[in-house]
Amino acid sequence: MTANPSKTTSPDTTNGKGAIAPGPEGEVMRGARVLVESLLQEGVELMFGYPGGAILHVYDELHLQSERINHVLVRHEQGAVHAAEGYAQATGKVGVCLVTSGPGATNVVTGLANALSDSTPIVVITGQVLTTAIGNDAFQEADVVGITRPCTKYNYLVKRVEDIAPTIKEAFYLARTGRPGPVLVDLPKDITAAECAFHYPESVSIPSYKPTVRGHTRQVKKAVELMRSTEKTILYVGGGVVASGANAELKELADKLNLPVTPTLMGLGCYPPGHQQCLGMLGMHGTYAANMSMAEADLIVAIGSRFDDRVTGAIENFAVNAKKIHVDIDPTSVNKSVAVDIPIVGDAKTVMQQMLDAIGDDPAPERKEWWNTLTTWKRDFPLAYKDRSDTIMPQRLFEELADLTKGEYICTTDVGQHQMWAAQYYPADDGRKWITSGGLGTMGFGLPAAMGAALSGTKDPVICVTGDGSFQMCIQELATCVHEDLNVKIIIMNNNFLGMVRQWQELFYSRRYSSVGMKYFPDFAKIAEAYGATGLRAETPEELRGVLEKGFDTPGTVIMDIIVTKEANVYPMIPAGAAHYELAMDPEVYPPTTPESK
Amino acid sequence: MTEPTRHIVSILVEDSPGELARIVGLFSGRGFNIDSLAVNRTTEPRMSRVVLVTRADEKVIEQITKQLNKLIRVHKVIQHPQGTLERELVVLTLRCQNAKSREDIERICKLTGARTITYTAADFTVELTANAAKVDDFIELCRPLGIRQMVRSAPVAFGKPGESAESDTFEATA
Ligand SMILES: Cc1ncc(C[n+]2csc(CCOP(=O)(O)OP(=O)(O)O)c2C)c(N)n1
Repeated sequence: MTANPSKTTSPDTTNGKGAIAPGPEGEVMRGARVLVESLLQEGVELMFGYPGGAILHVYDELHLQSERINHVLVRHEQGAVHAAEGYAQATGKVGVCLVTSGPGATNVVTGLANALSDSTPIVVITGQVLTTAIGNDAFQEADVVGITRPCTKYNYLVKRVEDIAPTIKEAFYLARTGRPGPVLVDLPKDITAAECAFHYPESVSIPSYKPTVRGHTRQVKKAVELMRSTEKTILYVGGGVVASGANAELKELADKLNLPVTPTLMGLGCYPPGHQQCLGMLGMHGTYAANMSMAEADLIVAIGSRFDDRVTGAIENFAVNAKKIHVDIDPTSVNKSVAVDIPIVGDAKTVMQQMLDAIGDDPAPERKEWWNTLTTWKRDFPLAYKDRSDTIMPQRLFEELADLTKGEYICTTDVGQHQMWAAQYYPADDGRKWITSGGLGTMGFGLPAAMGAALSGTKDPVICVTGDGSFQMCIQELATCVHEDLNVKIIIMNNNFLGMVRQWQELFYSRRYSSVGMKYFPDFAKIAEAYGATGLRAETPEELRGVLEKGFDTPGTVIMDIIVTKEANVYPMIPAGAAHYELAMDPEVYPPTTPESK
Repeated sequence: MTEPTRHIVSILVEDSPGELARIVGLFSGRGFNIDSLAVNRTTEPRMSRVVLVTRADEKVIEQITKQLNKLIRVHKVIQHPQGTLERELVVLTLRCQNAKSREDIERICKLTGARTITYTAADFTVELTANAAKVDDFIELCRPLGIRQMVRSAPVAFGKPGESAESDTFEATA
């Protein structure tokens, strides 16, 4: 995805696919067709969208070209953009979303911000009013380029039909290279009606855009030496490793230097979760071993991660004595919140390969004491909860899910407690199988993202783990799932609360539960039926396993409404603004005196 | 952490709609400050130079230059060293009702290099091009005479002639 070292030009336009049949070079056609031909040149097979006045010419063209390109009609534009994100995260290709002007475009803003936070490559095409009407407060006019400027990697307003093809070419190039992200193309209606001869450019040249892919050789060497010579070293890896497809390099690096690995929420799956060198997730709800290792390490090696505040905790207490190496493709991520000793700007995969080359066949350091400490932490403070027989504990749900699926299926989540428990327990065996809204924390992401993932070519079911709150934010996409006959298994962790907010109100606001209890709850199983999906419910621990098994055995879209205990809390937890070593463990499992703080 | 100090940053950016908005939006969106801003064409076609004055500590100015560099259509960002050559324009209309104030104005102009642009029986309009500190002093010198109107531009800055090997478009184009 970020592999083009020549940086300014990209002869490869295949969006990850094989060779593409040449477009109808030179043929005169309307702008709408130019758009579709350009998308085909980019290897687009599928897009998600919703029609409207300003984008009608394009929809007309999609009808004519329906043999060559697929369009999935969603039920809300937010669904379209999250589906494009889910598709992109599952495949590594650029996801595409098509909507109309004004309200259609404003409905995708959340998704753009989400994709920007999580560096997801998507191209969003919005219709716009006639060029002659722009600025006149026309019907369904909004300054979409203005509104989306801060939440896209780049955006365009196309003003001439001849510019459509080069703009699409550039948009895809920008979306997938460097630090990937969302690119928006605003297309006025008259431009999609106007005609020109089709010509698709072979390469892109943006002299002012040159992502650095290879790390600075001397810095890489220095980094390797420091990693070798520092006993208490930890690899802290994030979404950048997933984006650059560097699982193998990471595994080898951890092997060759005998290093512990802790992934962030966005990095889950890029390192085998069950591996003895894996400490589990890091951050606010990360494992004891992962968080303590950050507090105790003498060297933190961040790769494709960005010292997010949910990971560092209180920045002034964050790993004060540790040296830091930071590998990231985005220079602005380096030295932003945390000062680093060895910055390396570059692509995670390329830089790790450079590190491996520098290591050669040197034997791995033993790190005996460090491993002693880490294994003790892992053994003494594992993820744990007190199970109950009268009610389903949420953690039990996720343990059963893990046991049933072995982490082999793609799993998307919404945002809240269920997301954190899924992150702790779901053993995704690949980064592209774990799809969650990390940076923005967007409730409503899960179901449409699962749709996108289900259309990514996987033959397996796609799991969507959601909460009773989040699910209702994009619930309308059930219709899309059923319409497209998608193999999506929706697991609602139903606690009758906006659980994560309730947890904070319990812990930090003396249980003053303010607007977190949803008094009225729909019957989700009946909703499933009304939409033409299958609905199941489990209310007791005895029913749980059976419902899960039945759900996965039932073809098509299934809702499993799992009624869990109402007031369970996610632990471990680093309270906002506290340091790693202040992390709180589940008081029901660990007597409140442990762990001692430093 | 260092104290915030004044920095002049020159940005060479493609002259297309929205690019200035991206630069300004970056500052407002990330809580960086803009003291002043000057934009104009360069010797290169379709290329604009933005000269921006900001207050920032070391960490923030590093972020500012990196974030500017990250903008897709920004070609070059130069953080000018302290003491770089800079010029701004001030135009003042001064009260002038008698021979005494006329003499005062003449004296100040001679001393500072300011010059008269136009005058009426009641006032003189003068201009000065100088660096920010000199312009400040000039305004103070004029203040006792009575300033009826003042318009001050943002500064432009450039490397010493011959020193800027960075790019043709960044050589002093006085
Ligand atoms: C769009 C949006 N609005 C509000 C929030 C704030 N928020 C974070 S978690 C949460 C509660 C989520 O409740 P639910 O989906 O039921 O999940 P649970 O925490 O109970 O597992 C809320 C309201 C958010 N993340 N996103």
